[in-house]
Amino acid sequence: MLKLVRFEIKKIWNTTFFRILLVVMLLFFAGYYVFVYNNTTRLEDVTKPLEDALQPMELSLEENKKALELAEEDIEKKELEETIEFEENYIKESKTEIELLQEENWDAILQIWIEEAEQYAESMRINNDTHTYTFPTLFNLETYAAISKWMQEKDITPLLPADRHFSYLTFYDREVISTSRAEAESIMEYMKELSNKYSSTSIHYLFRLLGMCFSLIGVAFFLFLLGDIVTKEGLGRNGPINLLHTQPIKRRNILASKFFTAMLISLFILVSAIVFSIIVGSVFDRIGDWQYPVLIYGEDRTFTLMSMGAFLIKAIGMFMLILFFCYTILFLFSIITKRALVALGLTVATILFGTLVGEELITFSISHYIPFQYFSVFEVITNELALTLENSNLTYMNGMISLSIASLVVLVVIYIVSFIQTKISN
Amino acid sequence: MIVEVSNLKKRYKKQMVLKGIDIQVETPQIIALVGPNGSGKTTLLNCMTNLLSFQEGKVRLLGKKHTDASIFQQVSYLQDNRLLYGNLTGYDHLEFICRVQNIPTSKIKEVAMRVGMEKYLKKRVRNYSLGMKQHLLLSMVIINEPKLLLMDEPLNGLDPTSAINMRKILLELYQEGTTIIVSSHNLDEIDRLTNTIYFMKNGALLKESLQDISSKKYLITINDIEKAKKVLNEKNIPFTVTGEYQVGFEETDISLQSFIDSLNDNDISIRDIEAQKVGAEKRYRELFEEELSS
Repeated sequence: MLKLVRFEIKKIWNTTFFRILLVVMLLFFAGYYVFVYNNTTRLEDVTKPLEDALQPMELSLEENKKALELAEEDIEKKELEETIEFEENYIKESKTEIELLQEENWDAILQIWIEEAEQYAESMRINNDTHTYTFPTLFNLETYAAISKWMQEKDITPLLPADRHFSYLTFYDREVISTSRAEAESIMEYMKELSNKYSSTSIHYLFRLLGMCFSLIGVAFFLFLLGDIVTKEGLGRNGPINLLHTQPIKRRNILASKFFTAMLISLFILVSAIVFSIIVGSVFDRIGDWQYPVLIYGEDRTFTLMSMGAFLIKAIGMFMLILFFCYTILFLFSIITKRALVALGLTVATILFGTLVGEELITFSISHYIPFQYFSVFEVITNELALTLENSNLTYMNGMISLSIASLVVLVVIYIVSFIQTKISN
Repeated sequence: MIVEVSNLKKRYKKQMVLKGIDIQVETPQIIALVGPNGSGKTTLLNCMTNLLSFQEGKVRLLGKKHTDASIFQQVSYLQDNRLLYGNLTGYDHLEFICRVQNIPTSKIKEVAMRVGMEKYLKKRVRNYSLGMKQHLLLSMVIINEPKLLLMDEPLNGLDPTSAINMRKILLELYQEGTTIIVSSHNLDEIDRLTNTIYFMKNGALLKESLQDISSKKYLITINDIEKAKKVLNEKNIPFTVTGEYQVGFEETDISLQSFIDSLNDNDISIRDIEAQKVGAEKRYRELFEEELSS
C-alpha cells in the first residue's frame, strides 16, 4: 500500500497543475500575511493617540486653573474645581496607562481591565441587568474579565487595540443604546471593527488563515485540487490505470491508496500553511502565544476558554474529517460515473444540497446527525453555530461522530458498489 | 498449464466479439496472434488479463484464475503506450514496478541497457518518441522476468534497428523459458519471430498453425564471419554461409541457444536472428482472401 501511495504522490507532484496550484496557494498565503501585517495595530499606534489626546486636556487644565484664580463666584469656583479634578485624574490615569503600555507591563494593564470589567459586571448584577443584548452585556464583561485573567496568569500579550472591553464583542452584544438608530448602528459597526483584531504573529495569522479556509470554500479548493485523482487515469477506459491493473496489486488497494494519497496531500497542504505561518511570523513579528484564549460558548450564557493552540488542533482534526467525508462522496461518484467532472459536480451538488437540507431540518431532533451541518469548523468549535441555529446539539463531539459515521456509511456503499461492479464484470 | 483459455465468449452490446476462444499452452513457445483490425486480438489479450470482463468461458494463467492479481508477478502484458504517465520518467515507471514486485532497483539499469534506453531513462515520458515509448514498455514487461509475456502490437513505431533488437530480446526470453503471445500486423516480423501463428477472424481463433509445415532453420547475422566459421568448424556444429555476415543454422541435436552460446563465448556478437519458414503472409492471404479482395 505504501509503495502505491508513494507512486500516487509522485504522479501528483509531477503534474504542472499541482505545482501551479501550490505556487498560487503560497502567493495567497503571502498576500494574506501582508494584509494581516498591515492591519495589525502596533503599540505606537495605541500610545500615540493617547499622547495626542493628552495635550488638549493639559491645555484645558492650564486654562481652567487660570480661570479658577480669576473666578469670583462660589458656584463657578466649585464647577471649575470639579473640572480640574476630573482633568487631573484623567491626565494622571492616561499618563500611567501610556507608561505601562510603553513598558509593556501587561500584567498591570490587564489588572486594571479586570478590575474595571468586574466592577461594571457587579453593578449590572445588582441592577439585575443580566440577560439583555445591549452592549456591554454582562456576558461581555464576565468573559472579558476571564480572558484578561487567563492572559495575566499565562503571561500572554493581549492583542491591540487594547481599548478595554470597548474593543471586544461577543455573540450576545448585538446593539448599543444611543440617541438615534443611525448613530447606534454606526457605533456598533465601529466596535465590530475594533473587536476584529489582527496580529502578524504566527499563531494569530494561522488562526485567521485557517478560520477563512475551514469552510465550504476550503473544501471546494481541495475537491478541485484532487477531484480527478480516481478518474484521470482512464478508469473504465484505456489509460494509465491499466498499468496498475496489470501489476500484482489488488484493485481495492489501488482505490485505497488514492484515498490515502488525497488525505496525505491535504495534510501536507495544511502542514505547509502551519510551517509558512511559523516562518513568516517569526521573521516579521514573533511566533505568538499558543495559549491565547479563545471563547467557547456554553448553554444559557455560560462559557469556557480554550487555548488557541488546542483550538487549532481540534479545528484541523475536524476539517480533516470533513475532507475525509467529502473524498468518500467524491470516490463514490467517481467509481459510479468514471468521469472526473461529473463526479466532482455531483460531489459539490451533494454537499450544497446537504447543507440546504441541514438548514431546513434544523428544528428536527435529527438535525445534528446531518454531517453537512459542521462545515463551518470554527463556529462549531466555539459553539456559535449552536447559538445561531438555536440547537445546542450541534457540538464538536456530535460533529465528529456524525462525520465519522457518515464517512463509514459512504465507504460501505463504495465497497458494495465496487463489489457489484466486479460481479457484473466477471 | 501455462495458458488455459476455454470457450471464451465476449459480447459488446449485441455484437459477439469473441466467439468461444480456446487456447491451451503447455510448454514455453512464441505464439503470434494475427488478424485484421477488429478481429478481436486486443480484446482477447485484455480479457485474458482481466482488463475486460467477458460473459462466458474460463481463463487460467500459470494455473491461477485470471482475476487473481498475484499472477502479474509472473505474467506481463505489454499494452499500448497510453498507459504511460507523461509527467514521470522512464526510471519512475520501472522503479514503481520494481517496488510493487519486490525486484531490486539495481535491475533497472541492466534492463535499460538490454533494451537500449539507458540514455533517456531519466527523461520525462512526454518527451519520448513513439519508439522510445515502446522501448520503455518492453523494459517494463521484461524487468520481472515473466514466465508468460503477452504483447499487443509491440513493434508499433519501432525503427528497423529497434525492431531487430526487440526480436532478439524476445527470442532470448523464449530461450530462457518464457512463453510469449504476441499480436502484430507486421507479418514479416512475425515470420522472423515464430512459426506458431494463431489467426483471428471475426472473433474466432482459426487454429491454423505454421508449426507443422515450418522448419527450424535460422539465418543469423554476425559481426565476424571468418572467426565464426573457425569456431563452428572446431565444434563440429553444422552451418552454411548465406551471406557476407550471415550463417544458416538448422536446429537438430544442437539447439539454437547452444549455437548462439558458442558464438557469444568466442566474442562473436549476434546482430540478428531470423527464422526461416513458410511465410505468414502467404497463409494470411489464403485465410483472409475475402477481406483482401474487398
